[in-house]
Amino acid sequence: MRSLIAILFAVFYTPVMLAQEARPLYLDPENAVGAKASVLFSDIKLIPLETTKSSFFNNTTDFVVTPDYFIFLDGIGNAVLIFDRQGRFVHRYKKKKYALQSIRYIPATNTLFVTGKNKNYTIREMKAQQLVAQPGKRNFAKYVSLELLHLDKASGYKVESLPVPKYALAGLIPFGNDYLLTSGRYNKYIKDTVAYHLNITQGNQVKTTYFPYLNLPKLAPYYEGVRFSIHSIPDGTGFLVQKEFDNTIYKLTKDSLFVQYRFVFPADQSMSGDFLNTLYKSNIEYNAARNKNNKVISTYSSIMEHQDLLFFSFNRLSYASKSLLFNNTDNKLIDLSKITTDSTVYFLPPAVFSRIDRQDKNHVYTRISSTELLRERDKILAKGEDFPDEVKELLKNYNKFDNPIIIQLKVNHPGTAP
Amino acid sequence: MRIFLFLLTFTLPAVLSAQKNIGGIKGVIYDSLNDYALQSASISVFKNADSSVVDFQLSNTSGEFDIKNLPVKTPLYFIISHTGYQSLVKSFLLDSTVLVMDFRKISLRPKADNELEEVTIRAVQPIRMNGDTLEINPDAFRLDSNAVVEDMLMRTPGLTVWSDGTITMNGRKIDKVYVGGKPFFGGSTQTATQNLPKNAIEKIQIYQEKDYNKVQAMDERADSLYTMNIKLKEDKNKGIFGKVGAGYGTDDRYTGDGVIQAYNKRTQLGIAAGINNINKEEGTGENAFLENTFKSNFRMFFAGRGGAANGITRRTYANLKMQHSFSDADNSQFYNRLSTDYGYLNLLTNVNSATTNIQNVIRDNKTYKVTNTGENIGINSSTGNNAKFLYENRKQFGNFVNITATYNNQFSNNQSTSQTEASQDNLVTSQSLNTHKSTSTNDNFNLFGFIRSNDAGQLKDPRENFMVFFNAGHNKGNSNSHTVSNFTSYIDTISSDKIDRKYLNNNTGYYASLNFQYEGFKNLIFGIYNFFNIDMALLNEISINRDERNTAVADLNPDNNQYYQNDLLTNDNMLTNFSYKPGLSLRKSINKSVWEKYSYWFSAGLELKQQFLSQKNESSFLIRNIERHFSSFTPSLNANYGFTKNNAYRINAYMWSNIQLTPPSIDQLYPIVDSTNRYSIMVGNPDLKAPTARYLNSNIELSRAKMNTKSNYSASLGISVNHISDAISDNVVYDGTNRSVRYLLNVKNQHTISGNFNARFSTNLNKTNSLSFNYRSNLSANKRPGYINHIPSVSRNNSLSNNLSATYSLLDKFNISIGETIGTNTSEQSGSNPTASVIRNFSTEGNINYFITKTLSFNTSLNHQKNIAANGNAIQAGIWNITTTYRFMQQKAELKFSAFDLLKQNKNIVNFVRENSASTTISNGLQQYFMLTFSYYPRKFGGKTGNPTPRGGVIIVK
Repeated sequence: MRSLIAILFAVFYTPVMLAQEARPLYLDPENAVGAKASVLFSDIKLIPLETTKSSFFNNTTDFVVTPDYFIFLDGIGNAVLIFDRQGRFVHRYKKKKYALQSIRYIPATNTLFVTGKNKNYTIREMKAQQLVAQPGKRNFAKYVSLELLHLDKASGYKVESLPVPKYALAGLIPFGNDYLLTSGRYNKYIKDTVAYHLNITQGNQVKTTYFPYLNLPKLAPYYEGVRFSIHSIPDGTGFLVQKEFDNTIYKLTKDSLFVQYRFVFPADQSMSGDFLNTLYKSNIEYNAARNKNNKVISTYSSIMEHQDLLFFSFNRLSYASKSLLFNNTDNKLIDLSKITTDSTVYFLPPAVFSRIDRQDKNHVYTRISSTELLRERDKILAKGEDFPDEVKELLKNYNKFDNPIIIQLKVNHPGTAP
Repeated sequence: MRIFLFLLTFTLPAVLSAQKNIGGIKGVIYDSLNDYALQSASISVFKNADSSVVDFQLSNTSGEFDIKNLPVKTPLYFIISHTGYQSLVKSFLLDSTVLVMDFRKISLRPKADNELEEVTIRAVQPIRMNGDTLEINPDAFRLDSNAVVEDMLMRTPGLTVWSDGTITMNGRKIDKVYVGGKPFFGGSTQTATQNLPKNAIEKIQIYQEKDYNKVQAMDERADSLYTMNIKLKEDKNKGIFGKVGAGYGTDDRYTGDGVIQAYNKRTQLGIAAGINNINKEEGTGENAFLENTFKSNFRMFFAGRGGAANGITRRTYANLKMQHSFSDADNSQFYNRLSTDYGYLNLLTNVNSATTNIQNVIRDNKTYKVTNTGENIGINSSTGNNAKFLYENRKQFGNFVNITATYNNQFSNNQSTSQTEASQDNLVTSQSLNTHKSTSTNDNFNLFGFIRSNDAGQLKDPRENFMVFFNAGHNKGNSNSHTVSNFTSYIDTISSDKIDRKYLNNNTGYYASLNFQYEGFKNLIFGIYNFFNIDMALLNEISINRDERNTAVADLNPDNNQYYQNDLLTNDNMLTNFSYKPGLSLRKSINKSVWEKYSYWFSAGLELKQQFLSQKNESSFLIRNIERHFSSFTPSLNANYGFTKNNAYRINAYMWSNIQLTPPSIDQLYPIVDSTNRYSIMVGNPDLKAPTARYLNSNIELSRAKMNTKSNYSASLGISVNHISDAISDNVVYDGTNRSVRYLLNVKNQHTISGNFNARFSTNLNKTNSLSFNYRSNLSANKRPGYINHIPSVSRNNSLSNNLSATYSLLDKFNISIGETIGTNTSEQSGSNPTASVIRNFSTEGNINYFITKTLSFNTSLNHQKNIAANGNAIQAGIWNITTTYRFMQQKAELKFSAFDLLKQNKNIVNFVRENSASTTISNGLQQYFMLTFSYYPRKFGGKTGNPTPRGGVIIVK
């Protein structure tokens, strides 16, 4: 029976995907090389974020770069903080009774999409599935808030409330006039045997579906959700999508889903196909199968295409993570944690380069916290006789209660990157 | 104290002379092709002479390494290796002109795709990073063939193996040790690390894993555990090991023991048995499996008094331990297994003791002393059988099933003769001579279960969440005893008598309790509304127990030498208690975690409970037929707090308090008084009220949490307060022969406050020298109002003890530990004639281990006690032991010579003060003996020998 299910699944799974064939790239992340910072980067700019009583934050749940702003979601302070491109504090948005969950920038309207959950309700995944399947006359705005924060100065950072469809309980990502919805878990309220991980919805209707799966108990999604990584393309026309254990990066646009990169990693780092297609008798059996593969790469915490480069970070089942840079022009893979810091990047600690995950047209961005910088400050200043005076001043005057510093880097022309 | 100072002075030179390696090397490692710094490259330094590892390090994020404390004037070489690069070897010599050699930039050449590393060099690196896992490679450690895992861990930088077997990595405790992903013989660290041979290990992995006990916690990093997994070589997945030993000595002292432990992938089985008459408790019974490891004798062990128990005991034991896993789960979070334990224990003890008791008595506004001196000679024997079955199952995060069944059977036989003399101001007033014989049997069966079903709403409706504890049992016992008591009065008004009395007791008991907590209560009434995130559960505790006792007592009539039933003592009694406690539990938790700065959590819980208690006593004595009902509010409150400042320190604190009503027992209301208790007679009080106890207990702990530090410290402070209103106290009335009669009564309040403080500090002077200090202090004070001869009298008891110990260790060579304890006990009696008694105890301990060679070790321990009794008399005793151990036949055979109590002073002294009474008891102990012990440690790991183990160190292939 177990193998029968696996065969059945394999048969109908393959043809459903809208796939445009992409050349497989055989790479070993363990052997990715490092590089000197000066080879990769130039034109570094340190942008300290202004620290005032209202702008101070300790936690970065999310970070967005727009043409005019750096915007942070502080999950502990439960606030959206807006700084201009020089780091000056501009605006703070808080919503009473709601815990802010996520922010997404919508370039077309120059707005920030903000989601929040009512702090008075705890809706677990299974309960959310039930409420979505049996919505009755419920007003979902009671549980979830969907808002647009207007970013043009003239609007005075006006907040516009959006209608809340039932799917908002499962977390929505704005996609033009529609929303993108993922569901990774077995859903007992769906009567069909086949369900879909990725859906484009409009209001309370599902318009398009991708990534079918067998919605049966005892398969992997019954014990634990299959996670998706969805990262916006800067112009807002689509997303780069990765499904857990699948080392393929898809591009999702309004009307299609196609393969953008197809990485093939060594077998001990890739989950074998039968993991997701096997029926497990119990959670013990399921976990034993997972733990046998603890070196396996599961989800990608960031995916960013910048010019001809792809910055991406992944997590293994053992909670280890790695940040890499793939060069499209010569198919080389660089391990960002192996970057040797030098004067080009003011001898900043190598760990900051593993966090490059935001960009605009000409630059990529990372950040450094006060704790991390202060730990290295004396070492940096000792080597930094040639630093510009404003950098020396910034480092000398920086203290542990200051907000993080944004690091803006220009990537050397991809052709020159190793 | 003087001995302590002497030993401390003795230790210091050893500590100061410990530093002699002062050289070092440093440099930066680069990729020669792409010119960037290589992180986590292994740099190992070896001696030219024998290729043994001197030290090793991983390069930091800038590719830098800096190895200190290398020997000077010794030819050395280092090997640098990194995955994907050709290894590099370089020889060097440090001397007084170049103490620290800076190699500056060292470039490694990447390997060509088709290049085999073995073509030029095969370097066996001791440690390497494999992703986020630190891997220790046993083949790189050049240790003798009998080395165990612990020998290797002691030489691994960043790891510290403590004397109690605890292992820390960079100051952080390794929480779990697995062998092949499973706990090993119950999960004790030493069982794995002191038994498994280094050569059976493929590698040791140290990594962080998520603590699934905190499934809802926010911050993964803070909630992860450091875990060590010992991965056995494929052909060593089964093994057998143990110990067989026998010893004989002067004074007819002997010891013999045997332990065999065997394992395979799913099953572990252990058998232990032994006999000794040297009061040896450690390493026997259940502990035989943990404390007879292959290397246990070659580790630091603390002296204690070694066989300091009262009397002389012959101990015979046999134990069996088995564990079988039904599933192949390879992490400890989920399991499905059955464990079985069986134990047999027979004890035969000869105890002789002498007690002096002094009581301050007020009569006619005058205070005088009543002195009781007694001698007791006893022979006690007991035999017990204990069987335990434990089934554990955890398939989901919050779903547990734990069921334990235990059966215990005990047979005991006691004989004693005691003589007591009471005197008033040195004038003897009465005397009592008692002989007592008894045999008793007891059978107990207990079933305990814990079931929890709460998967945090993942697969199940949270309204179905619950937790159940149940406990049920049956016990049956009978005893047969005979007491002969001669009482001689020297006061005219009180007559002398003799009692010859036989007893036959049968008792049967049943008990059952069920504690059901309905955790889905909040979801049931509020649905998805989270009620300010306060968790709510309905509590229900029901318990019932019944105790049936039949006592038949007969006295000898001296006139016709016949025994006749004693109607005052012969009785049947049945006590039934029923208790029901409904309640509501509320809990609120908050936590905050700021990455790289700090994190804290706080949790407070309140249980509101009402207790309904019904008690019915049915007795053949009409007066004892009573039925009582109580109802009381018994709330409890608890709070937990944790704070961690990143890379600095951790604070944990907890507090809990409750209110409890304890009704007086039937024997406090209507006692049945046996006149053979000559000097302590209790008179009940049917009007006694039920006391209410309010209890508060709190604790705070601070510890250093800094990575890569040489020194660690921790301190904890605990305080508890107990206040009893309507407490049961007494009015002690002394008759002319100075027998005391206790009339029970209620007093308004009784208070007890106690506290303890503990501080630890340890520092590694260098890789092989470490020094640690431990300080403990305990304080207790109580105030207990009562009456003596009808005169109000408040007794205050204070006790304070301070203990300081220091340990110095030179790895594999020498260690010394010294400690001093000072205890003071004060009892004050305030009334019309206030009195005070003070007793003091001084105890000094010292222990030295000297490992002369790898096979020969020497141990000596000294314990000196000085006790100053309430009357000012000081008693001193010292015990000095010496042990020499020689290992041969590849360390599998051991010959041990022990000399016990070289000073011939061993005795056990206990001083005690309470209220108006102070007593000193001196009992016999083991006397001097010399013993020779032979032990053999059978060991076999894996099947056939297979390929020979590769030689340690490095192999250079040109």
